Amino acid sequence: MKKNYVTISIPRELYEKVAEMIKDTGFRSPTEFIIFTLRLLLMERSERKVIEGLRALGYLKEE
Amino acid sequence: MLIIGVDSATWDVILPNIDRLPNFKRLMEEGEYSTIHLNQKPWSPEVWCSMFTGLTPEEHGHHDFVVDGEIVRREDIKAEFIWDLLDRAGVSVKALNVPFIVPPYNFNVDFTPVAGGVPVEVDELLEEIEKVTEKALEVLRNDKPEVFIVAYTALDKLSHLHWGEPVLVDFYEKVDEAIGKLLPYDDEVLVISDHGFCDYDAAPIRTLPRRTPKGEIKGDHHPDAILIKKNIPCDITQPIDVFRCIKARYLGD
Repeated sequence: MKKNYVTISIPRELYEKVAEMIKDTGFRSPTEFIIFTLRLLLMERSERKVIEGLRALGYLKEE
Repeated sequence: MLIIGVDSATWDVILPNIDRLPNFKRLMEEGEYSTIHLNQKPWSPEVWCSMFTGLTPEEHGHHDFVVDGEIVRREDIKAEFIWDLLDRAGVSVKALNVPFIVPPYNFNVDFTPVAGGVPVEVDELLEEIEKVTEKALEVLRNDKPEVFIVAYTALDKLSHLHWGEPVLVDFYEKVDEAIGKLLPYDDEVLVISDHGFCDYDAAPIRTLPRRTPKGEIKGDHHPDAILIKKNIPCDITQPIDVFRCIKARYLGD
């Protein structure tokens, strides 16, 4: 299945920091790490919104 | 068969305002309508799950949207839903926005939920009605599945925070309008809620806290739900009967 990608520019200094950081971590490239991190960040935000919404409606009991 | 779930819909709002709800009215006249007196807790995750698994909460084991701080996923529920059975048997089936979990569940439908699946603000609730209807129409026009289940959650969320206010009836009108757009696409129609709603202090069962970070909860869930059916000869007196009805109709038992 053909995937759609867009090109994003980041400062070279940042890219090189990521490249150094991911050595021996299992990430094959800075790109792979950046995509993983963004997905994680988005997932956590959406989950936070879900929790906040449920709490606002009374579906989660206050401690 | 078209099954339209309307979370929290109650005759206590529909009947006094029936002249503002022409599509509910017409469906009630063309079919038959009744009250489902729940014999289970009027709690959305449990009831929607019962409705589409045919199992009691004790049997399906799904009781809350969040357990131990974790949002419950479909795969956490060890039960087969009617769409799983139908799909395996080769019956075309789609489900859209079914709120037994959050974000609400979709089967064979690509749909991005509004506000992460828990719309709270009035504009988000309105957007949910619009987006769900838009997607439902796309499904009904293009795919025409044998069985299509679609659910609206806005009335429940609005009832929590705005029960008794004029805006609630305005939203019943919005849902009525939405239902009206879907009705032409099937002669076998079921409209059902998972529970009703009532004044907070009048609730026979307490399911919600008095206050939340958003403010005062104006009403609470009530065990009387609505049922309207047209050209569906099943007896439906409890949510689990919906599963049994669909199964009997398409899988023969």
